[in-house]
Amino acid sequence: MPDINWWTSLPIILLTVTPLVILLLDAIAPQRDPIVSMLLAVVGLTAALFFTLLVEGTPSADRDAFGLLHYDTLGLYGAAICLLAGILLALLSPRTVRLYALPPAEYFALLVMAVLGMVVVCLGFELLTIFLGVEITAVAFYVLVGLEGNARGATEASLKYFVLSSFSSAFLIFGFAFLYAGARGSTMLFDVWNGMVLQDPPWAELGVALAVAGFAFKLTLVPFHLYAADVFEGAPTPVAALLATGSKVAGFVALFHLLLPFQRYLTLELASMADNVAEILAILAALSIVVGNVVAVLQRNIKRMLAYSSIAHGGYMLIAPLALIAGGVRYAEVEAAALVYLLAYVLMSVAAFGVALTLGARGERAIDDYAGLGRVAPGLAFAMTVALISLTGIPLTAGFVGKFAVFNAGVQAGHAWLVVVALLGSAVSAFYYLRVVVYMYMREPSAEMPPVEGLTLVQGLGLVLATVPIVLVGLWPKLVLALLAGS
Amino acid sequence: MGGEFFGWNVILSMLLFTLGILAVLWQRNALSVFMGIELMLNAANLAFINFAQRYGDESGAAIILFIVTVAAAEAAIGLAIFLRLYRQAAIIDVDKANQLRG
Repeated sequence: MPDINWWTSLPIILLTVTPLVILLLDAIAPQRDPIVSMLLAVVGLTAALFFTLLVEGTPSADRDAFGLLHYDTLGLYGAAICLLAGILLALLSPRTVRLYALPPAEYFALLVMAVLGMVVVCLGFELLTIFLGVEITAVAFYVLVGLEGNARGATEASLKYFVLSSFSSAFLIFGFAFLYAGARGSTMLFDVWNGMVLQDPPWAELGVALAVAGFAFKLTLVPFHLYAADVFEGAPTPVAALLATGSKVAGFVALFHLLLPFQRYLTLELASMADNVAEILAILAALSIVVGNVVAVLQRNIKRMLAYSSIAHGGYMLIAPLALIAGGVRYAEVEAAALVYLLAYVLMSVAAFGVALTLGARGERAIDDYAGLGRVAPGLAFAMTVALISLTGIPLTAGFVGKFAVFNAGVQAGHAWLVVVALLGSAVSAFYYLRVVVYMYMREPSAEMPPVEGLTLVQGLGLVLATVPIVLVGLWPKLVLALLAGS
Repeated sequence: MGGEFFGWNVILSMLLFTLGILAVLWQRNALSVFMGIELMLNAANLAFINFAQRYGDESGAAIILFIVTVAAAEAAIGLAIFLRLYRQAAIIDVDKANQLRG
């Protein structure tokens, strides 16, 4: 048993204890209002975020926990981004919890558990740890998606998510079994990487293929995307937002970790296998970008539109690991590009979903319901506009910085055709994102719409914390890029 | 590819895994679909125990306990979801759960 490094274990411990405290408090003093549970969840998540970032200062050799977790730059910031998504969505949740009469303590306890799983997936450097992280997240989401007990849509979404998620988890663990064999009986990621390089016994390639299929589901890549729109529509909006952001970030980081040995300049032995993997990833990315953007145009429901847009964004993300495999770019550059993209994607998605849920039952439905919002609720309309412009990737927003960094890496690595597909996809996406903006500012509000409720302080805070950084990062991209380069 | 690595156990686990996939894709009853998923997880168990024995590593055997635990947790929640869908809409077919446009 290696020495236990308490500082690196602290975020995980905090995230484990917080849900227990929330549930215990509910058992002692039943919670009718979500505020206390929400505050506990936010405190727990913020403390975990603080201690995760604190690890940044320690030398690389001391960044292990139990030998199972390792804080490399990608994992550390990936975990931090998941925690950020958790904090923002916890702040935005109370209205949904009240509106749909969800059990408050259970809701926030499960939310923190889902984030715990994501953090474990980001930091896991051992196969079983990664799998358990995936499962903690998945099981928490099965319940969260269907928490609105009386609505059939919620139960149906929960059923679909359950069947497809456990199906993909089976692929993941079966793939891990072969990676374990490829590593000659070791589950540590470093041995697994060696197993891939040696390819003796020749199991690693099969393992990688199965694991990629498993992770592609978490990233909602086409053709593993079929559940996304239905689940997003049926789930409570903040839960859908966490699925779109945190779950995707965690899956992306774990996939990236797994594919690290395929970097061109590291291993010439792996060249043919790397080519195969790159081909599969390129096809998945291109399909996701095309299908996601085209189908999003057809959607009239805002949550379904955001679901398909998140499928397309999963495709854009994949350009980063592809650039790494193709070579021609420095590792640190790809890592920074991927992280900036993930941060931007999380902020703008949270902001868009956040506005939708703040509008209550009205904003979670048809795009037509956004008509005239610019006049009725100028602040919300502005936040939504910033989020949508950033999702489109228009300059001076975080979305542009992220896309530019990732696409730039893609071009340098010689994947110009994929970047062209991505740019065309972005052009299509401008149509459906900006359509909502046009509705908000250029149409008359319809008379029968219920009035927009005032923002509570907490929700306003959540929205401001999501939107302001989008603009800040857009105006001074050096801020984040320098932060990452300095690490 | 060395013949010694293609043990019958591995082939059996692959066969079970394929059967599980077919069950998930072809069966319409939610419980049968779930049994297919359990079959896939158990195929992974078989693969792990086989490789653990071949490479003399005990951790492979320990992993099985975790997979079984995960499968039990999934079963608990999955069956609760099936039950609630049946109570709400008297549906046990995954195809008929199509109120959301999918």
